[in-house]
Order: sequence, then C-alpha cells, then structure tokens
Amino acid sequence: MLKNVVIQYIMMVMSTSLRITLCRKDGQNHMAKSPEKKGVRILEGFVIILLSQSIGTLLSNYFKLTLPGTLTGLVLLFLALLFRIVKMEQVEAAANLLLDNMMLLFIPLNVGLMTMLPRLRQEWVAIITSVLASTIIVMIVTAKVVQITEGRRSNVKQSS
Amino acid sequence: MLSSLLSEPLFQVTLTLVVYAAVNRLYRKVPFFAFNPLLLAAAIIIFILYYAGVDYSVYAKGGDMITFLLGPATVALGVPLYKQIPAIRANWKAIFVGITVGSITGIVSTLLLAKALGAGRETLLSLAAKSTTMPIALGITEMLGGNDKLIVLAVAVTGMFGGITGAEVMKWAGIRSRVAIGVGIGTASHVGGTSRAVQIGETEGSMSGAAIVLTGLVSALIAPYLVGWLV
Repeated sequence: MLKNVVIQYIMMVMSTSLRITLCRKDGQNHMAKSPEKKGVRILEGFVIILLSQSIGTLLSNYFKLTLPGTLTGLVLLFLALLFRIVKMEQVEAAANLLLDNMMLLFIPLNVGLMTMLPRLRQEWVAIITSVLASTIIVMIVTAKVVQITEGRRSNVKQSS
Repeated sequence: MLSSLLSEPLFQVTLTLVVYAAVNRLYRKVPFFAFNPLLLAAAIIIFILYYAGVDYSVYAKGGDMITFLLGPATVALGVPLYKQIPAIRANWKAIFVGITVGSITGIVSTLLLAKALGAGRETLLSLAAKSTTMPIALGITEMLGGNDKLIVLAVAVTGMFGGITGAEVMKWAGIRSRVAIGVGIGTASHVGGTSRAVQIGETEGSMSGAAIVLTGLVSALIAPYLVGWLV
C-alpha cells in the first residue's frame, strides 16, 4: 500500500520535472506554451518505435533471420521514414530522448561486470589486447580502403 | 525500513538515475573525451552497492527496467540513419566498400587475436561485435550467444581508445582524405571515435557518424558466418 503511494509520488515528481525541462529546452519555440503537445509527440513516437520493434522481432523470429529483432525494427523504422509512412516529426522527439540518454540505459549492464570479476581477472590480457589492437587495425585498413576506392579525388586534405 | 527500501526496484532505478545525472553534469563541465561517463557511473554504483551490501541480483530487478529501454533505443537509430542519407549518398561507394572491409577486419582480427591469447569460447563470442555501436553490439552478441556485460565493456573500451588515438593513428598511417579519416574512425570506434572526429573537422565528423549505424548493420549480417567459421 505504502509502496504504491511512494511510486506514484516519484512518478508525479518525474513527470513534472520532465515538463519543466521540456519548457526550458524549447525556449522561444511555440511548444513552450504547450508542453503537453510535446508530451503527446513523445508518446506517439514511442508507440511507433515499439511497434517497429515488435514487428521486427516477429519477422526475425518467423523467418529465422540472422538479424536480431531490434535491428530488423531499426530497418523497418528507416524504411517507414524513407517511404513517408512515418513523418520525421512523429518519431524525432521520442528517438532523441532515447538516443541522448543511451549511456543511462547501459549503466545496469556495466554494473553487472561486478559479477564477472573472476573471468576478467583470468582473461583481461586477451580481452584488452585484442580489443585495442583490433581497433587500430580496423581504423587503418578501413581508411586505406576508402582512400583507394575514392582514387585521388578532390577532397584531399589541404596541407596548411 | 531502510534495508527493505534498498531491495526495492524503486531504489535501484532512483540510484541509477541520480548517479547518471551527477556524472553527466560533471562530464558536461569537463568534456574530456577520454573520460568515460558510463564506466565512471557504473563504478560509483558498484561501490555504493558493495558498501550497502546489496547483491547484484537484487540490483538487477530495478536495472532490468532500465535495460528494457535498450530495445527501443536500438530501433531509434533508424532516425539518425535516415538523416545521414545525404552524407552517405555523396560518397556511397567509398563508404560501402570501406565499411564492409572494415567490419570483416574488425570481427576477424578481434577473434584471431583473442583466440591466440587464450580467450575462452564465450569470451570470443562476446568480443566479436566490439567495433559496432553499443545497442547494436548487444543485439549481435545476444544472437551469437555471448555475454551481454562483457560486450558492453569491450564496446566502451573500443570507443574510448578510438577517441584517444584516432587522430594520431590517421596521421601516422598517412591518411590524407577527410572522408577516409571519418569512415575509418567511425567504423573502428563508433560513437566514442566520432566525438573526436567531429573535433578534427566537419567532413570527418559527418562521415564518422554515417559509418556508425551502417557498420552495425553490416556486422550483424556477416558476424554469424565469420563466427561460425572462426570460433
């Protein structure tokens, strides 16, 4: 009973602070007068994104695609934007909210590393070395390949 | 009373949000690219949980609510991909060839090096996608059967390292084309590298940004085959 009251209170505080942030963010924009409208936009965007993910997951499972459901959803959302089935302003607010706070969403998994300390202690040399070395290898190989594909064309860096 | 609150998902979610907000504010004041807000936030929370005597499995009840939003966040990457169409179209041939070769190089070199250094099977599966952006890497790793926590660490380290070394590596390798520098950094080190590429120049930044999601998609398509062959 008390738990529900506390949760409701926290949600109320969070939604109020979200509304204040949105007002401030929009500044002179007309949206500032009606933050509710922006709230509805975010909700609408979330529905579109969740629908894309659901359909993507269904397709990936049904056709046994090697592409994970979330990526099929990403492609579906991209195609929906490309073919004007979904308008940019319908999803932009929700997408930006998620993308701007991506780091937050990864914190719990990183906290989970505390359960992996034995393995990390055992394999950290292999993990760190391969990750760091491969990063540099990919960087150089990719850039060289791009440079070769481009030929010696226009956008070569001017030596200043 | 207090100890019962500690085991509530409510507390776990609030703790995560508060630490995130604090670290984010700090990062905005000291925007040093080598200083990773994600790893710092995780370290602070691990520290607090350890001293409060809260087990990870208890924290995960609240943590999973936050992790759930990663699915929608991955789908949301369709929006920046759509916005990057003009940048991609301008150099599509170089971008596609570079990203395809780069994605294959990334998976093969990581797997071969880690295998040679004695990493176990599950660790190998958890490192393959390390050059892709975090949400996509997580999707690929779950599909391959790797460990979700390990790939998140590998991706964070990759991004941080790419951000620190990107500009110097390109100079050292004698890469002069702005497009090549951007695609190279973006393909190798996703968002972490891109935040540095943006500082090098506008073309480098937009090319690096355009490479992020595409590298993820190409890697997702080829990873199952390369992993089946090498692991």
